[in-house]
Amino acid sequence: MPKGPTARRYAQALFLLASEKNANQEWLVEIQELRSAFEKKEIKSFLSSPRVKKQSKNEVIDQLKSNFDALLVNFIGLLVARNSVNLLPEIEREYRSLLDSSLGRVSAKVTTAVKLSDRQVNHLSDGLGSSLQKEVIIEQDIDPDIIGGILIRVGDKIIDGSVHSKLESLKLKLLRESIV
Amino acid sequence: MTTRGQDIASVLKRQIEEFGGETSLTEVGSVVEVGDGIAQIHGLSQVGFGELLSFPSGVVGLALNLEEDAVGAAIMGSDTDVKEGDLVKASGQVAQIPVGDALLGRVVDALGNPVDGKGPIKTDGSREIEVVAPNVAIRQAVNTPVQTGIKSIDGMIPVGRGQRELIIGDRFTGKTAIAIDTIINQKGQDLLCIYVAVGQKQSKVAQIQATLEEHGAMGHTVIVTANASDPAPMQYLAPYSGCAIGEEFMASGRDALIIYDDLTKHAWAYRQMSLLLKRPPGREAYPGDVFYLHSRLLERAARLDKEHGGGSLTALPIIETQAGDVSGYIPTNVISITDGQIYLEADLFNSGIRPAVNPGLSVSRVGSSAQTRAVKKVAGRLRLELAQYASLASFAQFGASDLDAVTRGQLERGQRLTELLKQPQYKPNSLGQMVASMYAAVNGYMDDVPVERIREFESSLLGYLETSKTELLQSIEDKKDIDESAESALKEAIQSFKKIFK
Repeated sequence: MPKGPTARRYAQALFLLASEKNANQEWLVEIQELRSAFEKKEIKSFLSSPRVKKQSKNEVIDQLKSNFDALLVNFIGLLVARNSVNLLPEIEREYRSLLDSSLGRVSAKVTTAVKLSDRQVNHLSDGLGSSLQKEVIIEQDIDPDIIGGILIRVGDKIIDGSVHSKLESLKLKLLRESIV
Repeated sequence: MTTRGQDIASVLKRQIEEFGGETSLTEVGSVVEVGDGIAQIHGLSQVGFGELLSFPSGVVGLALNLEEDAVGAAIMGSDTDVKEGDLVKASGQVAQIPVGDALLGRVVDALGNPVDGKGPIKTDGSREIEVVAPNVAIRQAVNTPVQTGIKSIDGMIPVGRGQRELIIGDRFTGKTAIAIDTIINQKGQDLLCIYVAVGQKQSKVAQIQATLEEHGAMGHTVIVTANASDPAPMQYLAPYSGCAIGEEFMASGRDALIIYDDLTKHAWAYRQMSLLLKRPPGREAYPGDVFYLHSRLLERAARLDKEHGGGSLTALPIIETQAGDVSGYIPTNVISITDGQIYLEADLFNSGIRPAVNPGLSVSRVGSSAQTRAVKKVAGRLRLELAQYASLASFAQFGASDLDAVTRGQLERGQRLTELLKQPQYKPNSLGQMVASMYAAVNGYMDDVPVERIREFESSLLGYLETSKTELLQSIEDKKDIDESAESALKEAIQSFKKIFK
């Protein structure tokens, strides 16, 4: 079974709850914290172990109530009861994309060979924003392997202006083309 | 050598000048799962059905299952080079194949890449592999025959240009032989041939190519091959690719003939793909759309009307049955789609009647309107006499002594006709030859020839006509009819031949 659809349904439910409370942004931060906490091996194995009684798991979860929203804690309890804590990273990703689309923004991963200056990043986000009609959040990635140019990935779309891929396509073209 | 060096340099120079031209927006996804020639790809949210995808290894894929989160794609090539996490790019195009006259004489795979080692194919044209069949408004009725050169077929089960005639029979009953003879008979004629081999042994395809070359028939033939060792998606695509090549000939106003050898293996390949794509299995584990798989392919055979060039595409699909069972799932499907079938029987084949055509079960629904007048005149009675013979023969085997003279005459005639319809492989008859020997048989000129000597009589007769009455056969072939003068000349020639035949 792919995890995608399940995680998406949980994220949608969470997002609806958060919207009712007008706490979309805050919840994202809390979900992030929870996710990173549950990535720790001891916690993970404690919560998913069938040897640990439900009651003691619930006690541990209840302690979270002091730091997190009560509904979120309930949610964690639900995930533990259904043995789906491992969905949390997916849920976080889906939640983030729901939040982004509700705010009319997209995140773009920009790969370059050298670090871009702040001015360049701003210029890029303005340019992308006006062509996509959305607010663009730029996530920078530095990869010397692309040699030069720029590679932008927005969702399922890629704008490939890297020197590396151009050299590759030139290579393919030269190999394919028959001489004479 | 320097000129060649300069050529290479100039090509390189041009390529490098164009280097780094455009940056385009591409749709991408990543491989989540790969195996058995099928890849599950995450992403590609805007990809279209049937769109070509490219994997980093250079292999192409075909998007076939579009789901909420993933795309199921068939890999057209080696799946061992595709790895989990690979970035897959959408091409924005549906599958295409190079077409045109440059393909004649060549052997290509399902994507149009040459596999005969004769270098690249230079052609400008290309066509989409999957297209909708020509609609009713631009078609016309079948009116021109395909001369297969096989007496039993041209005489009893005539095939017209634009028709779809199924060749069905068990293994080793001579199905491919009929197809190959038909191709050989088109040498020097105006019918271009495409032979699509699906799931066949490489050795068999190589043998067919060699046979065609030996008989000088490769010049008007294209072979499209997806062998048994090729991945199922290639075998699935090959018939459609061959059809696209044929459609190009049809669109240019010419006549083409396409042979699908065979559609049973095509259905197997599609079943494999569908099960791996997790589409629900139906009867015999074939997917629900296995009928549509063949109907959309065979519907593309057509005869276009004059305003659209008047070209045609004739389809001869082949189906292999198991132990003569024509009521299987795939055989009944294809029988119901085609305009008739040539039914080959193992018993006939083993008793020496080759081609092993069963005259009772074979039919052609539209071909008779396409039969030439010459053949129609002599063969009209052939089928009837053979049918009468078949019903009498089973009855008479209990003792022929008590039979009346008429019945005995019919039996004798039937035996001679059956003998006459035997024809060796790779020896297709021309129209004139066919008409002359059938004329002699149905008009009783062979009744006094012993059954064992019928074939000898026929070949000597044809030899005699060719050497001493050359213009007679030629005139029949040119007019495609036997008028009174030709008939009397033929009668006279046969009578004078009988005097010298001992």
